[in-house]
Amino acid sequence: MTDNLDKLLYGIGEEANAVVDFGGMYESLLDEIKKRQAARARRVKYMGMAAACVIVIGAAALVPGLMGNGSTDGVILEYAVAEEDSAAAEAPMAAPIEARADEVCGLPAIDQNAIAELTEETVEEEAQEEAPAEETAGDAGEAASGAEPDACLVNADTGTFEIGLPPEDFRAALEEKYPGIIVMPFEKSGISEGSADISVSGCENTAVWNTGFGVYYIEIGAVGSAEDFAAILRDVCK
Amino acid sequence: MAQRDLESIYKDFSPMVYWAAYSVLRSECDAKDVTQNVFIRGIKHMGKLAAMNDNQLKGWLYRVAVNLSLDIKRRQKREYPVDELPERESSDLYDMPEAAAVSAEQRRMVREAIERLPDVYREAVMLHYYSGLSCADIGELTGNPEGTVKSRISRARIRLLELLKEGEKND
Repeated sequence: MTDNLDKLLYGIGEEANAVVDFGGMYESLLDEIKKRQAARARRVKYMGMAAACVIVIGAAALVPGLMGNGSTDGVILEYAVAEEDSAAAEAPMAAPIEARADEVCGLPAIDQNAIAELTEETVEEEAQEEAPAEETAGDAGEAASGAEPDACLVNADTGTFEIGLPPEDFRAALEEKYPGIIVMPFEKSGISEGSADISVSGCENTAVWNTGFGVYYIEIGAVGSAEDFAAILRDVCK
Repeated sequence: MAQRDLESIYKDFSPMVYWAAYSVLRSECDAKDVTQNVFIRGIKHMGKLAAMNDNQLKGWLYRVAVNLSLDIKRRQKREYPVDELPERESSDLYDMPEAAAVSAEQRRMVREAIERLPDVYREAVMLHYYSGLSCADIGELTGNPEGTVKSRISRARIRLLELLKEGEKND
């Protein structure tokens, strides 16, 4: 009797197992694993991007401090304002750079769902966009073409400036404070390729100021040197 | 022991995991979810699992399956009776017909009767007859002596025979 019942129960067990689609469950398990792995890969990528952004922001925050105290053996360009003014100038400068870095990375503005929907290509494109942002912030004005309002950047090594004032405002302020300096529109075609996109290039006794809106030639002969001109620029930006 | 991959582990143990979950939850859908989650957890610990022997592997999968199932059951707040079945002699029961001779209707009745068994009996029956585990294996998995498992299966069988007998009378 029990043998027969055992057979019946084993038979029912076999029937029950036949009804359960273990193969299909395994397929869906593999799908789920793939989805999780893809989501994990995306998370890792975004964490990497976030780390890069933190480095960029950190570097951007450090650079003005270095510049404020900096003096080099080469072309020395430094801001000629008092230390308290320097601090005041640094604060507005750091903020736009941070904002720019955030804008490039886009992390604060994108929610997790949106991130999950991004394709691998999008991630790569954003990573590529990130590189210029690092350069911009890292070189602190060396490659910056668009001047941020109220920001003054100077790279002591390359002798380049970025003026954070609207061109006309800056020109007016410069001529008012330093009447000896002549600022005039400059034919862009006359500027060498390398300096064309740089906000202001100071060399010898002249400078070319590419504002992004127009190019100006600045005669600084009356001032004496690029170093002195850097001090003037900083003073005008103050 | 040779290291095992996910597919071989799944092939060998997914029925046990499924029926362990089903015996707790009595829902195909929930049991499938639990089975999937058990193996996803397994993947996270694949290095450890791959090095386990079959008994250790079985024990790990079973514990995870039951724990996940109990979590779901707690969330669903379903209550199931855990009555003990009375111990009885089977001598007074009718002769069980040959399995082949059992009608489809009787088979359906037995399946339903298994579903209605108290948790511990249903678990023992499903692990033994559906997953093909021995009483010793079930005892090891559930933390009970082998004799207890045998006793549970025996009582469950008697209960099922009673139900079949009742069904025949009604026919």
